[in-house]
Amino acid sequence: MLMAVGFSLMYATARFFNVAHGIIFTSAAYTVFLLTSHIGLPLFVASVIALALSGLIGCLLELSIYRPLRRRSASALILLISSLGIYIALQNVISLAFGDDTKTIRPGMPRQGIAILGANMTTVQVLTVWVSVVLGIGLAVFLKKTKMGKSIRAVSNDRSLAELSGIESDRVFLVTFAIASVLAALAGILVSLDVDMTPTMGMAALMMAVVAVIIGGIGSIPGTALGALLLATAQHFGIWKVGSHWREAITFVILLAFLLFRPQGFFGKKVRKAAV
Amino acid sequence: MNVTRIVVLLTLAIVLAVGSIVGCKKDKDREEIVLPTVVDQTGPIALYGKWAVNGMTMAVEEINKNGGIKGHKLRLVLEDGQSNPQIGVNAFQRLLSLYHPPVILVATNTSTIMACAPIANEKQVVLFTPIASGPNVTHAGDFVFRNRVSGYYEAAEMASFAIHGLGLTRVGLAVINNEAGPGYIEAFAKVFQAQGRKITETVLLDPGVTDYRTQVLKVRESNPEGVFLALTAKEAGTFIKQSEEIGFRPRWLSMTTVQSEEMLKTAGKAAEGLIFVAEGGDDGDPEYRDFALRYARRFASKPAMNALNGYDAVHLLAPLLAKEGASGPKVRDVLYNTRNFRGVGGNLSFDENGDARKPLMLMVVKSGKFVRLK
Repeated sequence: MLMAVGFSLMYATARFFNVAHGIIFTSAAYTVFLLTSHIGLPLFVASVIALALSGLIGCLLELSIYRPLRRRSASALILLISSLGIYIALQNVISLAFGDDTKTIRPGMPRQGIAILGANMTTVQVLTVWVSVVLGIGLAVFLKKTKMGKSIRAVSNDRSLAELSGIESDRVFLVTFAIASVLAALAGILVSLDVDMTPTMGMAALMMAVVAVIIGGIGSIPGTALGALLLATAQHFGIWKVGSHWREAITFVILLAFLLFRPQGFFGKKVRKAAV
Repeated sequence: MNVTRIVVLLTLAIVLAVGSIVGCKKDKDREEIVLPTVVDQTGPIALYGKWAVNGMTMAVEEINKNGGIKGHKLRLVLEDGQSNPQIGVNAFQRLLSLYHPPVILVATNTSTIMACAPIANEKQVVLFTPIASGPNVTHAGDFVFRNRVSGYYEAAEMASFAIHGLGLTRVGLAVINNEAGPGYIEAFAKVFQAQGRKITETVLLDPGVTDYRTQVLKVRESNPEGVFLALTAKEAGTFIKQSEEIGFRPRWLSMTTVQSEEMLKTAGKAAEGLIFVAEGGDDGDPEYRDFALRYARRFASKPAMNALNGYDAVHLLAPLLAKEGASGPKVRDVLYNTRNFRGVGGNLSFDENGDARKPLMLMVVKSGKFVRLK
């Protein structure tokens, strides 16, 4: 959900498919691995540093690549391709630096989880749920109540109009990329604590996040959360009833159904062409 | 100078440059004997590929240190299969057209082997794999060989031990969801169910996925006494770990594929007591012990089965390459007649399908280490 919310925010504002969002997810986990296993920092401190670094990387990508391309009137396709290049390059750097085998940042041995309403949930899973809920609510409040949040909503609605109103869209993009990158980084760290990490884990997470965003409605945080919940439930129900080989098919059938019958998603806004 | 003239001169220059490079390469090839190899250096089983390359590299260095093959240096040429059959096939064909070898080593997953096998059979080039255990490789063709024991025999051995050694009557199966999966299921079920025992549930696990909790729950609900894992090390470790998290602790059974530090790192103490059928080095064999020591000095780790097989594969094949008029059919005939080749991974013979016949042993995870089951 964190990954999806970050992607939704970024897409709503910058209007392009940022594939590099997936490598932020991966690089944060490996940063924590580097800081804990090679430098010996405590997990919490390493995580905070990784989050800060990821926010900076997001800003750096915006300043050094996306903004110059936007200034040259680059299309969304050009921005997508550039972000894909960034993803491939950084993934291979991670592979070269750390190897392709599974790395772990789990502190300690696998343990039986806590029984909650008949299910066993590990500490990491409980933490993930709480963090997602708190940050989701926090982000919604930020977007609704703060000046920057309103600026982000204004730019995502209509950039030209926002600029005419005196909003610096470049600054808005910078803040959006920073927030989205921190959310992706947090998702990467929490997922790695749960299921360990490999250099290729970012793309799968990104694809699921994108589907959740489309189902939920671009720009809607409650919609994205609902989309993520629906997707995960459908996938696991499908595995239970039919088999794991149908997992991806189920995902894309749901996506197709929404694109055909409700393209705006659960809570997205239906856009009509203005008749003159 | 007009444009046409410039284009013609540029084209000639490029052709001459490429020709001289190819010529130099051919001169280099005449001095060396090349052993072309497709290996998964990236992708989900990159670690297995890396181990195989470690073993092969050690073998090549030893051969060259001892004067090479009839005075010619042996050189390993590696192409990355990326655990992707399409890329693996392209790499195989590229090596075939560049070097016209009698044999190509293919240290990749079973899917890539099966994709390359028709080409190997058509072009009459031996495809030799040190790591693929998929049961379907047995029938991949006349020119396909492996010194890795088929997972079919390992699964059958494990089923037999589950009955006679452990007295289990209800077992669940967690199997990799690829071409090899059905073969493992068939091999285990054929032995286990023939004795009137029950396979309580069979779940398929997609390679590369990290959340198997639904499948774990499904198996748990079927109430098995044991679970047979026909999975790679990473998947097996993840399955065991996620089973521990919900308090599911059956008797764990598996195959050689789990014998890796990666599995132990992922599963931790939850893997204690895991029993698996293994091929590989015997600590009682002085040749294996010597190899393990040299490997540890070079790579700072104990050699996994893929390293042993890669090492043995090069030592088995290198002398065949040196023979006058070495060709795919000739190498094939020699391999079919190979009996008790003394390798560090055990005494090796090939059956009528090109499958390895080697002694298997039972291993167990005890105090975080792989030890022979007594």
